Amino acid sequence: MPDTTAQPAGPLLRASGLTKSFKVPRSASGSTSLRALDGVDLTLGHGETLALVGESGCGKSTLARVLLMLERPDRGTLSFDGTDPFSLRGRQLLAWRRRVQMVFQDPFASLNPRLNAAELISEPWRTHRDLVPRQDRAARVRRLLEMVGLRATDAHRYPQEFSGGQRQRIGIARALALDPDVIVCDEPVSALDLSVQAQVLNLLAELQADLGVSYVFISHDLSVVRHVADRVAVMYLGGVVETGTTEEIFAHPRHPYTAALLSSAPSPFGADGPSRERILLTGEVPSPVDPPSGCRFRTRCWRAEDLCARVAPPVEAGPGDPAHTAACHFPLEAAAAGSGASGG
Amino acid sequence: MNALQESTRRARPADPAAMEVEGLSVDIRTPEGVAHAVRDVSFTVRSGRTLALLGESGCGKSMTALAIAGLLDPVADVVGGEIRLNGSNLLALGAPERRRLAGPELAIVFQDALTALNPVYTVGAQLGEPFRIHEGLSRRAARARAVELMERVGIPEARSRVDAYPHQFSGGMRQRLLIAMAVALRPSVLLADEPTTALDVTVQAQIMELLRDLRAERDMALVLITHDLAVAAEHADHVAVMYAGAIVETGPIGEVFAAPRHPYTRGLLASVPGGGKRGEPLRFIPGSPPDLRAVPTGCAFRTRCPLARERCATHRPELVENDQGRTAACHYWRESADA
Amino acid sequence: MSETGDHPAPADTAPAAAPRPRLFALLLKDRVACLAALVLLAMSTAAVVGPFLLGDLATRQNLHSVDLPPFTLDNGWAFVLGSDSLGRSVAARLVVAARTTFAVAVPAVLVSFVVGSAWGMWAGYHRGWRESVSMRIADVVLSFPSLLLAVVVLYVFSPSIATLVLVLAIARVPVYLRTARAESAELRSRLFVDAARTFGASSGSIIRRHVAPTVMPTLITVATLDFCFVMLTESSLSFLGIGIQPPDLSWGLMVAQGRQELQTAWWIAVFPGLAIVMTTISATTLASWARLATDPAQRWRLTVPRGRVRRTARKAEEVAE
Repeated sequence: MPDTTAQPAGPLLRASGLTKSFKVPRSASGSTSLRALDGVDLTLGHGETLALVGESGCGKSTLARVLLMLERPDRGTLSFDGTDPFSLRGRQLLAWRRRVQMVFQDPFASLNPRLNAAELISEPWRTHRDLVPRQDRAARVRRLLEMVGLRATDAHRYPQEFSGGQRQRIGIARALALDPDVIVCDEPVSALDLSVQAQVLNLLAELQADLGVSYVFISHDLSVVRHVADRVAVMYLGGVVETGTTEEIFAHPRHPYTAALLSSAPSPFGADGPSRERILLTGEVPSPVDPPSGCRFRTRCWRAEDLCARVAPPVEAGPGDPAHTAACHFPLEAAAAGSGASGG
Repeated sequence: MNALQESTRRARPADPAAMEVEGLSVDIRTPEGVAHAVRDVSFTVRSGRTLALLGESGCGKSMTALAIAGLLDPVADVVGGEIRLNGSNLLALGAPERRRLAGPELAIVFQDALTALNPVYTVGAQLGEPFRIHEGLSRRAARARAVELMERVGIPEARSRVDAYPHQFSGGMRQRLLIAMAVALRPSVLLADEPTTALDVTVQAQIMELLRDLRAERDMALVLITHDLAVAAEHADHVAVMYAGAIVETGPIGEVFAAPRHPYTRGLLASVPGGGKRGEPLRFIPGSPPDLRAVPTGCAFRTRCPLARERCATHRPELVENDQGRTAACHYWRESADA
Repeated sequence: MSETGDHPAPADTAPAAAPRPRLFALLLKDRVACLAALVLLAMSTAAVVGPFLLGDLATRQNLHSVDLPPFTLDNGWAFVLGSDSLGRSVAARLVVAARTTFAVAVPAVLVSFVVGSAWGMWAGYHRGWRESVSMRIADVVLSFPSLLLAVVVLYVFSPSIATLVLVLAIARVPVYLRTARAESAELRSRLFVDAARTFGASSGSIIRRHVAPTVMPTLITVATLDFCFVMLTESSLSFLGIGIQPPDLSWGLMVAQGRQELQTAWWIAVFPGLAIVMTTISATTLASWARLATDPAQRWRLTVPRGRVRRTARKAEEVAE
């Protein structure tokens, strides 16, 4: 259980150069390799929320699975509270798994429809028997249900009897069952209605304040990210292109992709309509099986030059906040970034 | 003629109404009783303009679209109302006549392009199908028109890809194909049911731009069905907010979002993240939408409304016009507006 | 703590749901399934108790009462279903034969079910070489005509109930193997299985807790259909003379014995055939009911009067949005 009063020095989680490829079958010529993650670095502090933002194919789901130790990276290291979880085996690895849990995107598919709420929430304890003795389980289930805003009487009901928001709460209760330090939330509210979304987000914030748990929050909805995240990592085609605090990223994006993302995201406030200056990227995301050489984003970047095709850009901080880094040869500087676009 | 139509007629006498829906009601038969999925819904869409039908899941917006397109599930029945398109009431027409209108007058684009396209036919064949059915074109001529369409909606290398299959295209491309099929015969009204929900945000922006261009070019009326307030705000001219099968507020979207009159609209806007300060809990509407088999008497929203009073339980509020082009179905909208 | 915002309205007032709806009560509601259950119960009782009560009657030959027609009580209640060429009561033989028939079919189905399902779930969950090897073995066994296989084996090892069961079981294992493998492989990529892996559950416990209960209904349906197939196969084998040997008696053997007299004394073959058919239909009906009753997501279908199910939707939400 993390001690929220005295924060230990150093981040809770540090990932360095994580690389992961998958074999995908090709038509006749056998298989080829798909690089889902390409040298990903990131850090997560205690009690902090880090948002992973990116579109399909950017690798955020694979990254989530690596953090959860469901996949082993081909290269790179993961340091969790000083330990490399991938070096553990057997019983030690099992014990380590308690520290990272996940809330899934689809509230229905992530719950086995044949189990009721109590069985779903208590399932982790059947694998980690020593954590909660059998006689205490019912009471713990009740406590968890109350913690997530459900009633004790809901314990015997099945997923189909709950609304989407309630199912997501069950998923959150299940993730809390093992008292984790980190919860990876994979698009936890994108399948929910607006009002329900607000309730679930409030719940996640409360739990963080009470339990000191850290979140890795994956989302495509930038308004949600802006509300919940302390820091943001923007991903594109398997790599992190920009990292920084939420305020910095939203106010002064340095990577062109971040600027394009921010400008495409619609907002209900200041409904400017077509008059708002918007960066429209051309084309689509290249296939991760055959990524562009040098900088991955160059095929859609309006600032690309020869250098971008030859050399992969290094991750560098700008003149402002040293914690705000971007992987770009020609990052947008603060002055120009305000308007979000520059010429062809 | 109801208040909405009266007001819009006065406000813009020049814009022709492409389609008028009046008093539409749809019931669904379930084992536990009849669910009133759409209750007395009326709205007008004008050529060259976009109306957003906005609401959360279960509010009846998709049912309304399906009823207009004539694609309701057999367990759902239209039990009242008229849909006037081009002078005729769609609901009074027989199936063959309705089929004739599908394509040249009215078209619908669905959310999930992968399941809406037939996987065993090439995209050229599918895009050419409207031309073959309605204009009697030969296969070759239809194929040529299909290529034209693909180019118009921005699919690169259309000529070589016309014989490809749907699964060989990305999600954004498939959605463009669906849109192409829908606008092939230049319909006067296009219904788009959550057209961008399944897409990445950058692709979403491209698709909405495409729809906007097509609408302008062909003077089409676009009905945008969505739960996403942001998309509605940026791409619609007018909005009709739906709750529990009924319309609760209408008006020009900028005005409605700036100063909502119905408590539900206010509640929705208040729960959008980003409206308040970071770190503060988000506001939300307590409770959840009613079971459509047991809609509360009077105003359906009263069980969750901070302004609910006795009258709300006994009298169902009508959509009352309270401003140029704006209506709200609430007895106490003035308090809502002042608060 | 936080407000319980999004409860569906009517359910708020429902009392805490009973832990599991009583299966028995559900069964009583469905008349057809009830009837099927009764038939099976009657058959099973006959199989267990019959030989004690009617064993004698089944074997007593009475050359004065040869080939008596059925449906008349003129000859006494013992011959209500007629008699065969040796004057034995068909009704009594039917009851006694039930035991042997079930004694062959039930264990055969059970053994192939258990072995095939477990193997298939394991192979499907792990994929890779385990899956490929298992599938090839299944292909080999299936490509043998099961009857031929049975003939060969039984000719070599003299036919007895035990060898018969074994041969039938082995021949049918691939059916369960393939079905279980296919469903298991699909389930493996489902989100709730992933969820179980995140808290470190081992493959064995995931198969036990998630895969098996979900795959069971399909496999049970396969098993009931297979039951019929096994009974008929046993019948063919008995007909060929390498199945049940007299003086043992099975429905299949009765059909075989009655074949020659189909023109003159049709009841000797037809009644046991009917018994096989009725058992199969009852088993299939009950299995299809059980499939719905044990699945919490489908249970509602049993509470709706038949005929209305097709015309209605589960919830408005299924049809809307």
